[in-house]
Amino acid sequence: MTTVAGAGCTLTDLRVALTGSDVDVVDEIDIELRPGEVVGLVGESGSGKTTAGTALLGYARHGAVIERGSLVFEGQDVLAMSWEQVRPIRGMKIAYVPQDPGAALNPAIRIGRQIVELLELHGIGTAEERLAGARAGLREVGLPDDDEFLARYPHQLSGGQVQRVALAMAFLPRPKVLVLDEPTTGLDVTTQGMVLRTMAELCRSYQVAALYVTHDLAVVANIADRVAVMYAGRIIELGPREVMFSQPAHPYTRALLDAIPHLARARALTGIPGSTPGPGRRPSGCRFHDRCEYVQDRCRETEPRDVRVGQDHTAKCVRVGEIGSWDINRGNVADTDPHKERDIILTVEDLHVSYGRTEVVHGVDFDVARAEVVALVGESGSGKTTISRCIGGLHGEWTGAVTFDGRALGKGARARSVEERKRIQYIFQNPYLSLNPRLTIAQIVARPMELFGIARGRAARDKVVELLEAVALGPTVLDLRTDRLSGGERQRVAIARALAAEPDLLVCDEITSALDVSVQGSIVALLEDLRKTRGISMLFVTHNLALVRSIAARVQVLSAGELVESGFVVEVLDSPRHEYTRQLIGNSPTVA
Amino acid sequence: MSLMGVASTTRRLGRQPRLATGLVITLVIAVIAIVGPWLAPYGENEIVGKPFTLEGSWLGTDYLGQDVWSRVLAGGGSILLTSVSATALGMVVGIVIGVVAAYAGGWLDEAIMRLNDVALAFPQILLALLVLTAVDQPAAWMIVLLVGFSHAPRVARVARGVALGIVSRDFVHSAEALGESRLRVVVAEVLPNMNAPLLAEAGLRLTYSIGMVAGIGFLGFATDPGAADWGQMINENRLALLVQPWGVLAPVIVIGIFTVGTNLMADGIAQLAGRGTG
Amino acid sequence: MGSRIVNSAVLVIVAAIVMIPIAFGIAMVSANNRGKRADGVIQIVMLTLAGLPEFVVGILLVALFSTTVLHVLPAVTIAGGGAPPWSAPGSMILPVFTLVIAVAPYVARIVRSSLLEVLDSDYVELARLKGVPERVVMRRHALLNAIVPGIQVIALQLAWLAGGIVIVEYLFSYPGIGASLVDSVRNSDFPMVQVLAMVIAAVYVGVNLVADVLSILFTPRARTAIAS
Repeated sequence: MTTVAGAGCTLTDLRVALTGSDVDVVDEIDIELRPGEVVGLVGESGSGKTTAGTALLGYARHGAVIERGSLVFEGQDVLAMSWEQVRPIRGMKIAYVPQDPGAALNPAIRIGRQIVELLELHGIGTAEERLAGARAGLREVGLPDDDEFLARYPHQLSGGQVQRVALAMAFLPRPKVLVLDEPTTGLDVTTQGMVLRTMAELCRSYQVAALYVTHDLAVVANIADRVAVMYAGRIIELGPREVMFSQPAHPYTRALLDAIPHLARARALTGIPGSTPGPGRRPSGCRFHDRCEYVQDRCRETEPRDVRVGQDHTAKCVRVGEIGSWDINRGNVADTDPHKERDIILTVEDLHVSYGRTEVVHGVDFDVARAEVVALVGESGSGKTTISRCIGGLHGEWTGAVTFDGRALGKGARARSVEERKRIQYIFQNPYLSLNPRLTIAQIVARPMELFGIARGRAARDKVVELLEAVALGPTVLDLRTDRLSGGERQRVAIARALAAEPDLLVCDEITSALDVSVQGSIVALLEDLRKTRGISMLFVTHNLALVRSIAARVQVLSAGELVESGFVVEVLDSPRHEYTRQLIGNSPTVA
Repeated sequence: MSLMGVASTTRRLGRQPRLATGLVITLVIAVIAIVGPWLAPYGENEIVGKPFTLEGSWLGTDYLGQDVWSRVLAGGGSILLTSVSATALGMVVGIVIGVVAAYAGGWLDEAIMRLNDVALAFPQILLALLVLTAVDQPAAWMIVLLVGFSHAPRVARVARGVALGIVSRDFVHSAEALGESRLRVVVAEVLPNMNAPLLAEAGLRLTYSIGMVAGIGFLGFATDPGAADWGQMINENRLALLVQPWGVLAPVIVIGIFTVGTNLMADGIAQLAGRGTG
Repeated sequence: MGSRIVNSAVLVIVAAIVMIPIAFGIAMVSANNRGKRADGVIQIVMLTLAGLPEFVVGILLVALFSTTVLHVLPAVTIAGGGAPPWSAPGSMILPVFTLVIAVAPYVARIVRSSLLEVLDSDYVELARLKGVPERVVMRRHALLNAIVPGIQVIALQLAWLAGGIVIVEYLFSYPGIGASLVDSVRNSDFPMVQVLAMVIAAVYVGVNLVADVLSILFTPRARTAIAS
């Protein structure tokens, strides 16, 4: 690709620090954005990716300040400009698409006015021309362009529509550089696919240099030309997409790729021990050294520089070239054999569920065998969580038959026997909400044992230690409260609490969706281990089809409260019969 | 609380100047109100000179020639006791109403909160005055009931709001899925998480209680005519503001300092609660 | 009786007209200087004033301006021969400012915190990232969304004024329904107390109703929900 002089932009040696301290949020960021090219900036939470993204607009959030660096755009250094000089560039030349457009569009202003606000402020064109521009922009992103639509408020649009309005708004002044901050977070895969395609087309046709900030490697694998991986405030590896996904050089990139599930084949996922350190808690030397499996003494002492690995490909690791090659297929495992005998423990027949007068699940049948993981997959509103809540005893408004180990289950938890409540345990999506913040870990995990008369006092505490060990937490956390734990650790506590009841069936409601991929990988590995060693059955609710391949034996695909396809994972994913399943698979971003 | 606990609490207070200041002011005034009668140079009803002169100790005399300073020292106990009891009553009743409504949900919640709205539509002081019309001389317990119950609907609304945010969290659902009794869910899961905002509300309610109790005395509805009481003292000496201001200003200033202290304290607690460290 | 209701209404309305711009002004100055010294000082002053019962404020003002320190303003309302109290405007100053000082701190604090919340919101950040000038951000993006909580707290405080006038009118011998109420209570004139209490409660309910309607008009989400 030829770089057109004066187009695109180059960010050099960026450092953003917390105001009034020498704690850096991001440091030594070098990145070049070329016209018509999308660069994916990938990182887990706390890596500083959003900070790096907004720095391209000469902006740092309240409490942080851009300390150093230059951003050369059209021959000028944007970061050296005064506040008044930067402002006209923002939005007009360098535009931004926000993370959560639902919150980022002003709720009190009609979208038609919000779209043209910037042109209006700069006095570009007449009112009619601006309106015509807004209509054209809405058409480009596949939205209606009539007056009724322009007069809507943001709350009158769906999530995908809001996101496309934000895209149209960003593209209207024809910017040269575009920063997209996780713009598809929270969207269903189908909507996400649509938004991503629209974005890619617009970037190409207007020759925009785009930076796509995300935590999702799979999305980057589909849309980016080059990929930059961030860890603890640094870009640790940068290279062309194909190279990054086939020959990653940095141990962190490799570990991340080992942690993500693939749609096309089952993999034994692995996590990265520990969690990403936030600003102020980052180790010296290589910032990844305390979690790296290839660590040596020099990694702890010297900060690694960029090492050239290949054409356009650099990595910040002193051991590049010493740690051998990497193969994406290393973690592959066999899919569950469809001909295996199944010993059914849970049967769901003709399940109808309603909330008040609205029926949301319309007659669903499926079953779960002993020591088997069954996945319920669907987009938001498909009824997957609702079904799991009925089985977990959290929602009682249903009809049909749910049979557990030969006996019909009561509707709410209070209608069930102690034995049934003990044998079925529910794990919630968000570990930040599912653990009582006033109790210690020991109290939380011991409670089911006391309640079900399994153990109490000293004996219960010993068992808590055992259970924490089983979920890879040390006894040091016993007397801590949950606010001292990371998200992944909290979810492990929630799993330990469920195990404390000695259950036969775990109902897992999107239990990894609030976690980073490296943490998700280790949770999935933990569940697989529990299934094998304890023979626990699991009902695994998720929206992530790729994850299903790595964890489940069977899958039920749900759409709008109906079961559209079910069967063994290998059959459903490799040869889907239903149109909806095919569409879902087609839209799921995937690495390979 | 262990010694270490005390030390760490002191350290945390140091980082919360508002809370610390409020707490110190509140405690100082409370101590004065409690031990004041023993420190007073004269008896509360002892005539030390002519009315409204600067005889007696440093603050002069009141409408009967009693010593103002002695009466300030003697007159805090009743206000302190009445407003603390009224606050406690209002908090307990309000919390029970609010938490029951939030946890029950559905029509029960709806019914309770509608009734509560009706009670809310009545300015607090009016409620007290309505009842006072019917009695010649209110007893102290009556003031406690009046002020306490006039707080209850306001506390209930706050408590319900806080509780709603907690009963919808998954750890409450989790306890229910385990089959915990409803009482235990409320006592062990919901209430402990309401500590900080409720404590802040209690501080606020105490501020209003002091204002109302003193206000009722100021309006001239004495529970014990003749006895020293900060609110009543203002009313007794009001007409002589021009000649002997201290008879009025002294009780006004202590009441003011007291309520400013409790309000700072309430705000400090609310700040702590807002950061989620309470 | 009728003239007393009018007198009280005038007192409350004048207090509100004085209070609203003061409270909003303080809130905006405070929010604009967030975390700085000016904000801290304003916060402490507001918090202190908010803690004071209205009779404490009133008596301190009287001592300061009419009896003890200065002698510039009348301490009681002089309404000779049934003339309305505003025929001697000087005597309205202290009652009005007592009410303003009792109420403005609450309003200012709530408006400040809702302004700060809005200024931290994603849409204000996006407006800044779009290069919208700070002036326009404040006017078009922030104030509009901060006004609804402001309306609600003003209504609550106005309704509270309906009760607050009891003490203020008694203190300043202002010829309104609050002072009548205290007299009637003292005379055990039960029917009169009932009537006056109903009037005050009706004002309370009425003001809250108006506030609800205004908030709906200022919130597009609520407005469209009703329209459809």
